[in-house]
Amino acid sequence: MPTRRKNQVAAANIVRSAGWLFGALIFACSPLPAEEVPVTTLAHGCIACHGADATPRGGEIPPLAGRDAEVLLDLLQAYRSDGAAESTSMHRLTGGYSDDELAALAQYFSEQAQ
Amino acid sequence: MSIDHGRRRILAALSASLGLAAAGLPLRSRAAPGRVVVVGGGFGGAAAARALKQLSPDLDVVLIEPAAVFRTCPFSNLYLGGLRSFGSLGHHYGHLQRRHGVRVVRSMARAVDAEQRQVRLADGTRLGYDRLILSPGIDLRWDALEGYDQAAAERLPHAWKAGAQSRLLRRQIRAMDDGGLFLMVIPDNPYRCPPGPYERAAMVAHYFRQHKPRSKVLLLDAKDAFSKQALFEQGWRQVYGDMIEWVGFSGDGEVVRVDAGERSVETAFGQRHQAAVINVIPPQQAGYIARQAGVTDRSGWAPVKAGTFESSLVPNVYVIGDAAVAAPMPKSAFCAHSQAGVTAAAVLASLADRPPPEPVWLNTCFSLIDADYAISISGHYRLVDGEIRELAGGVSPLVATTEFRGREAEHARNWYAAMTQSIWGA
Repeated sequence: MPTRRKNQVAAANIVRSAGWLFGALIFACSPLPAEEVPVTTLAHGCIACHGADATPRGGEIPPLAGRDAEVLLDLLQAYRSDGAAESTSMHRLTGGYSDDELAALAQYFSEQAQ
Repeated sequence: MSIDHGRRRILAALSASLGLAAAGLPLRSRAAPGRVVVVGGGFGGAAAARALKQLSPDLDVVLIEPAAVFRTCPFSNLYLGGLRSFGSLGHHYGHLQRRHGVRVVRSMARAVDAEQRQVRLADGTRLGYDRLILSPGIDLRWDALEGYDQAAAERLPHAWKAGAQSRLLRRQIRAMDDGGLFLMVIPDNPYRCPPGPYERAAMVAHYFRQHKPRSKVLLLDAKDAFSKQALFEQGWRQVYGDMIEWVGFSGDGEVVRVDAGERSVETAFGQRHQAAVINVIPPQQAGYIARQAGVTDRSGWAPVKAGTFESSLVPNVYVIGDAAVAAPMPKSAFCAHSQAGVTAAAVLASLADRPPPEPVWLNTCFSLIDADYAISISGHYRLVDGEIRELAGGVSPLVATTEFRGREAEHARNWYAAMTQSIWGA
């Protein structure tokens, strides 16, 4: 387990027990991550429902490839914060990603050509 | 690209286009990054083979699968309910071979020699590997339920591997009289597709509502709780009234004996049930080659290192999909696909002598209650202190509009199309 996630878990525990400000301070002081989830691994989870292509398949679940990175990131953050009224299962899945991971995913899919 | 390298690629492409026989494969790969052999062309194995070629185009990837067409368990319940054709469940390996450079060998893996790093095929051919990925799915345990063997399964189908068994069960459901009883025997955990039996109950009821409105569905279960239980029970009642009855372990739902000739079952406390159609889902274990390779323990399943799914028992052999012990991840097609992505990256790191990258796995299982009514469960999994933990996830809300259930049904159909396309598609 990389240091960052350990710290995130530790930070989350502290947030719950001692208030978010103290936790945020601990989190901010933690060293940079030693390892990250490769963006291809992150994206592999998404294509299971969204597909790898840019071509719409006519369903409710839209393709991600070739879409604007900012739009994607906005949507992902909205799903994660549980504020998106449209969400059926996206808020359940996005709950586990860090800010950096969501940004990496948005960037990755925006660069997937048609 | 060097000339030598180019020639190798041309040769590889040529042999692939000739529908390569296993005999044409050298014992050792000459490809620089090495050779990965994948056994089993289902959601785990086919996805792993494709992911490996995508991440490392020069890698020699061989997929061993005896069937020309893979039929998916996901949506096979929809076929039973009359919502999908049998043909729609089938996917072939042509694109994986011709477009994605996976060498598909249509054969059965008979044995693994972990010392020599070789797989022996049904025709005796030995295939060398640098890393081996086993994704053999499940085998049914013919010794676990008294009276239920392969012969009995021809009268009391399990239909827990999609194919001829699914067609047999569908024929039996269609042939029964209106008013006849459909009885399902459901095993204790762990087994393939935890919500599958309960979706099947709804799909059979869906068929009954249209064609046999006086018929009933009786579920005899060896456990007291099941996946998405409150959502299923609510959906069954809302859509099918009292057509579906579930009896759990505490209500004497555990079946201990079946009689194929009499078409009856007997519970732990001696109750005998007779039915027009009996669907027996027996206890299961990891597929044959996993047991043969020595990667399974006494449970019948394969323990793995949580971060990579490399076998805990045999080095350089990875086990993904239903055969692996991956709790809290369920034995689902979605998880098999997800594990394929993580394990492909781990295998490549191992070949390059790098530490495995950090994993993340996802799951979503949709269950259809009706054509336009679905429920789902999702999970987001990470490695925490060396163990797989669910960090986010949940199930559909109990209170939801008809429109919401309809959208989830649409999502289920979209998922099936996207998933099968990203594994077997062009």
